[in-house]
Amino acid sequence: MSSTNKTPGLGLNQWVLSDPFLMEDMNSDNVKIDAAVNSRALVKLGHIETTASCLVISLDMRGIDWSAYREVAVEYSLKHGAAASNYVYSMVRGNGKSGSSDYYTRMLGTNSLASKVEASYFFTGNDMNCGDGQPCRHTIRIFTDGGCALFQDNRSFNDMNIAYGGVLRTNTSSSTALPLSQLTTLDFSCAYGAGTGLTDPVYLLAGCKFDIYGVK
Amino acid sequence: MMIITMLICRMDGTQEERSCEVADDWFTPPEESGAQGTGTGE
Repeated sequence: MSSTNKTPGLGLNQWVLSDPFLMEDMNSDNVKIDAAVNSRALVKLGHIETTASCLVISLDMRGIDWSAYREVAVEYSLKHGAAASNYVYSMVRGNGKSGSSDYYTRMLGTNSLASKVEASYFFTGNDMNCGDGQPCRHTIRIFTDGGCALFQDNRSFNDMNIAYGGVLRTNTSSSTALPLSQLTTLDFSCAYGAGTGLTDPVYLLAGCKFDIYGVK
Repeated sequence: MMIITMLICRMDGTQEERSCEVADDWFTPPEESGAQGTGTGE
């Protein structure tokens, strides 16, 4: 190498006036930079902001190279059309499942495995903001070696990162884990109800946001 | 059964509206996966 100094991280050339400036040095630096960029821990796979209202947002998960990541995370915030006086719940299912039993139950304590499947269910607060005008953010983390978890940031109720977890299953009665290559969609919907129980579906409005990341 | 509006969202940002048939109670979760008490602020 012809440069007198090197950067502390990647060892890139740092020339002084008396150093020869060689093409080989520049090419070597560029190779190091390219490798470092490609090995970065977080890769943004997509950003979606919905432009129409609907009852279900179906996020197409096909095409993700699951083998390239140890985790895929979907961070999202939802807007809905229910009155603020209603408690609104949002739910996530998978692979287009639509039955009321097609949820995957939460993991709390030793209840480590979902008895149902393919989706999750969680409370989000009545207006899906955090009391400070900011959207309530949620993150689904799907681990490529098995298992998944859901986190929510619900500051209006002083609840941060409530986590639900489980295992994606092939169907509601199976104990077989769903291969991620067979995960085609994550399906988001909302419902509300006064008091106990959910009585009506809720329209999701335009402006729901999704950011999808691969974690290496 | 009921027909609902679904929005298909793809990683490349494209979106497509579709109709799909679901159970009448598709929005109702089963009893055991009900809301978390910690989320109500009560």
